[in-house]
Amino acid sequence: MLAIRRRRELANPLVFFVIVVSLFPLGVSPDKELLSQMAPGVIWVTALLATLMSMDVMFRSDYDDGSLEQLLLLPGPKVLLIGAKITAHWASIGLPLVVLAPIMSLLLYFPTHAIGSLVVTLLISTPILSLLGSVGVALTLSLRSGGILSSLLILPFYIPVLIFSTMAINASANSLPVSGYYALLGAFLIISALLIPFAVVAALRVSYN
Amino acid sequence: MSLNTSDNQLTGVALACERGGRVLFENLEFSLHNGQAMIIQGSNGVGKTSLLRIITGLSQSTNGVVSWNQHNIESIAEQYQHELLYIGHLAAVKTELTVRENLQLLMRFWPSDTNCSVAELAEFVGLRQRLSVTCARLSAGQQRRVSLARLFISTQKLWILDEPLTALDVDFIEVIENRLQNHLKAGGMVILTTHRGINLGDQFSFELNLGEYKPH
Repeated sequence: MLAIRRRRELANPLVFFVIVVSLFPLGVSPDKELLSQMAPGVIWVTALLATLMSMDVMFRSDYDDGSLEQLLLLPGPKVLLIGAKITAHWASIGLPLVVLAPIMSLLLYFPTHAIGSLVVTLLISTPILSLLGSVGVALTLSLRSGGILSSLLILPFYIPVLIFSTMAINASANSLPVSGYYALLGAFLIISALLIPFAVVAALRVSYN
Repeated sequence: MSLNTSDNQLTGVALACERGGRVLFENLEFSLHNGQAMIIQGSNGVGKTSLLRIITGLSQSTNGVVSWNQHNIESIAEQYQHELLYIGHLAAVKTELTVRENLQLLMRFWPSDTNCSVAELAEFVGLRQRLSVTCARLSAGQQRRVSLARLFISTQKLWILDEPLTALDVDFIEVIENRLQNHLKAGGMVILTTHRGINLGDQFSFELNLGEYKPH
């Protein structure tokens, strides 16, 4: 609904993701053993940074051109609107990352039997990243250099997601059970999806005050 | 709840606003009824936009209450927003989209008169020939026209306009003035800020000079 918008900016984080991942074999070492051990971490950290990079896009331009204040004045539940915006953000950043990640993982000799878990963790976690990020961005909208501040605000909250996701991938690479990690990430996702839109609406009100 | 009756009243009581540690205005009172226009005047930085944003409910006043039909607008935000049309000094026009897409968005999102087609709407604001141009390529005045297009499909009673005439040419100013007069005639209410004066014909309007409410 709200994603009817063409943006070249959206391609940037994805290009960033592709480039950084492909630089690792060149920069570190083309050694197969080493790379395949690092692969989950590299892919995950890069995906996380790419998402972080894209967070500002979510509300910034709407704030600058005044559409965001109009959005807040629309009759009807704001929480749904904000939820739609976050979903649109995820669909344009998170989802492409989920698709790109398995392709890029080949570059890093990613253990092939763990690619499934890479996709699953990304699929569960990228919406969490979008959700968490939206709060930080909403809080710092009215500040001029909000981008850096919101990154600092958001990053600590990304860490648990990162830890559990990479643990899940490592477990699956070593053929250990992974369902526990998935369940935990899923729980993160459900809780944040239910609560965060409310927090974002409140944060936007603060930003406008 | 008496929102749908023809008699509406918007009041502000003891409004005060503080920005950056400075009190912009205090003890501000106003009362606006059907068919009336309130023109807010004052020099730059006196708090006109802040006042409008307080009246819309976007920001909160440091003190005082804005009420719509005797109900605090915060407690009836949902109904109030049905009656409210606010056009800020930011155009809220998506510059990546074409004129047509922008107008379609306006019509889809806002409670509006659905009998009007996009082409007719563009005709109203004089952009019929430019429907498929992206808004980034329009001039400031033309972008303004796109955002003011909402006035022509509006079903809301209370219009709050922040410097609506900025960047418009003389002919289109007249179009807007006519539109405002018709709205007032139909029992609507208008609050606007302007530096250049506006001709509302024989419709009732009064001025509110914000400078008078500045603390000494």
